[in-house]
Amino acid sequence: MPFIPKNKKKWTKSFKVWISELKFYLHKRNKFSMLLLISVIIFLLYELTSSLPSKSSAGYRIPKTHGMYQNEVQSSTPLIFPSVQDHGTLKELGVEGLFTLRIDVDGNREYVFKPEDTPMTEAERKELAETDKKKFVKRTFLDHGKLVYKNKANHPEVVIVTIIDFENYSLDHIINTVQNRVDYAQRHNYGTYVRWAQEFLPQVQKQSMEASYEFIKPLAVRAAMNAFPYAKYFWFFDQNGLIMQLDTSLQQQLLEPKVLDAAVLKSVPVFEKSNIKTYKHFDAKTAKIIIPKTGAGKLDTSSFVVTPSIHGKAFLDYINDPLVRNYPWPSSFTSAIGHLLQWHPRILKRTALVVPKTIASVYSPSAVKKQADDAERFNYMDGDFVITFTGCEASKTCEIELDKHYQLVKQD
Amino acid sequence: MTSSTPYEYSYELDEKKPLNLDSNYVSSFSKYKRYVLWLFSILFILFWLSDFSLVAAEPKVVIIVAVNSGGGGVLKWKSEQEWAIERISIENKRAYAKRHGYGLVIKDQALSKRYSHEYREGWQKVDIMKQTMREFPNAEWFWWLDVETLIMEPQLSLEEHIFDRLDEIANKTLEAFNPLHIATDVAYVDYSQPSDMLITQDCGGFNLGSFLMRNTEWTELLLDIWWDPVGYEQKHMVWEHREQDALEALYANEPWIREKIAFLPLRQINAFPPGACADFKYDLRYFYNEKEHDFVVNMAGCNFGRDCWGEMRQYTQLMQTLHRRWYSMFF
Repeated sequence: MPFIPKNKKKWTKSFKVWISELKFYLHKRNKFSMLLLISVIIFLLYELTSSLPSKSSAGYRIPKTHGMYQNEVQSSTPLIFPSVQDHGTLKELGVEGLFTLRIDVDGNREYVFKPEDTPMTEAERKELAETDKKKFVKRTFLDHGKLVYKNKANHPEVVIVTIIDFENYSLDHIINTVQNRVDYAQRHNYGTYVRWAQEFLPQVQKQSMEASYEFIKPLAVRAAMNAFPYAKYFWFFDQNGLIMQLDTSLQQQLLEPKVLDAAVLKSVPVFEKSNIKTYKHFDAKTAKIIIPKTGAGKLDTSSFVVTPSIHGKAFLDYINDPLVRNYPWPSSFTSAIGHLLQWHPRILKRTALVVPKTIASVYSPSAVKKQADDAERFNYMDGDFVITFTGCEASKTCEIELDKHYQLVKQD
Repeated sequence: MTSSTPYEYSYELDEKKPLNLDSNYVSSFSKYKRYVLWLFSILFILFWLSDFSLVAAEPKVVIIVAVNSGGGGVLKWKSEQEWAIERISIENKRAYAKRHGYGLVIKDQALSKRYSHEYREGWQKVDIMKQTMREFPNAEWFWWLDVETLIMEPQLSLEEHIFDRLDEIANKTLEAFNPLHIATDVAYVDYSQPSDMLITQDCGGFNLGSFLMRNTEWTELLLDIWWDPVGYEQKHMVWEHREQDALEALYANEPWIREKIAFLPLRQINAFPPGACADFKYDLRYFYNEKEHDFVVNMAGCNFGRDCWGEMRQYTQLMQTLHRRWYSMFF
């Protein structure tokens, strides 16, 4: 226990005594001791100055943080989405018309993009819009990835990330999807970050929508983190899904620790038939990644939340690592996450696996009519926060179902 | 009876006085017994509650020395010279740790069955780091040192040699020195992050013979991610330096790892003897220079066709001459 002086006056008194003693001593010992005292003071000053850090160290240049493109364009609004009306022209141009195709000696074809690509100036934009529509659309497409929102004041807390696909979906479908996100974000002062999925093709090795759509999702979330540096949550929500309750904020639906704690699945297998289980004692306050788990026990990648924390970034960067991405997974993104959670307890500790009703109620045509209890727990019911059309690609019903349900949102 | 009476009497008299006196003492003690007991118990509780202790506090820096890294166990007998190298090396670190109040742990890196599969070879260093971090939860830095190293300037503390001037000596990017030609300008890396891992590069890339890690959440996460079966399954034939190559791959591809790693010049904590990096004989960046008083010498790869014992003896002698004082001639 350190001794703490309670009476300060005592000390000052003794200090005075000490000073007077010194004076007396100096008086007695005249000039020689005066000289000694001065030299001691000078020595002490010298020691002090030499121990201070010198300011001469050359300023070492730290490179600036940037996204996939080195240049960025400031967005005036937190609602970032591409000009969807270019859909037709983009489809006409195709991926081969948007990126440079590089073919090496072995005949490997690869689309590449230029990280140092400069954005269009206002003059160029005006000129191109009138003279060369195709080139204008291409440049707009390439510039969209450079948009960032770095306005610190009024920065959105939540950003909704969606990727849209002009090759496989119609303009109406895309308009409905984007409008739904924008409507929702506007109500709650959230941001949106909608990108063309094709923008990310040069970053993956299997450069087609069919092979890489799933792995473009984490790339898009990572890009969103760069575009919104002060946001706290990034919610990826698939294009084949709609937010049905526009008035419910994501915080009250899922993010608040109390709500999240109720939704977390504790001590369940990480994915179907896994030997690794989620933690029995999970602190919802420390959750950095939130992934819903379907009724069948699969990890649902159509809707998930990542925070821009060390764990959140590690999660995305791990999945985006070419070694991980190109591994022959049984079912791509889902398996990669499953593997990550199984093998890396530090990530698992910060990952909340939640019930699907929170942010991923799956639409099932047969279960809507409130039949079995099981379906009630997992599938979409009227009044649920969101609806996802997982599996609609196989039955080719995405556009019809989404359009049908979009009318229901409107009535709200 | 009569004969005994006076004696008994006097005895009683004699005894009575001191007895009275004694009982006086006892009564006065019993009077204050309660207070003494209270005082004692309060002091006792304070002692347990406060972090006061007579032994030194937990160290802020812990040095990890891995021994038996060249196989060992049942595969190879440890030769007399290997024992001697180990002894000198550990003694060198022990003296250094003692001088500056650092912690020291010696970890066995002998080839065990757990790590014998080619997929799992790189696991061990990571496991040892994790284990040590659990043992010293309050330490700030961990310094890993291979056994074939010698601290040549033991008077330098790590604070004054490294931590206090990280901005001057450490490089956050590979632009200045990049033997592996890893892409230097990648997306999403925030180089302004504090460095949690300090490593060096030799002529062949990252060198993990001597490196430092800070006790942070990032470090724990990296140690968790570092060994991943997906990477090893695909690359175990290519990654001949195991965890070193794995770290290079992680550094190249994952921005969250890159932004917390800083590079020190090799000679700052890991200078080579002339035999190592033999293809770059004239590149002064790699090799120990006694005139410039390099901090640590690492006889990396000395068991591949070089003489470990000879080098160890040479540098031990050199260290003695470098630190000879003028008054040592009198002893």
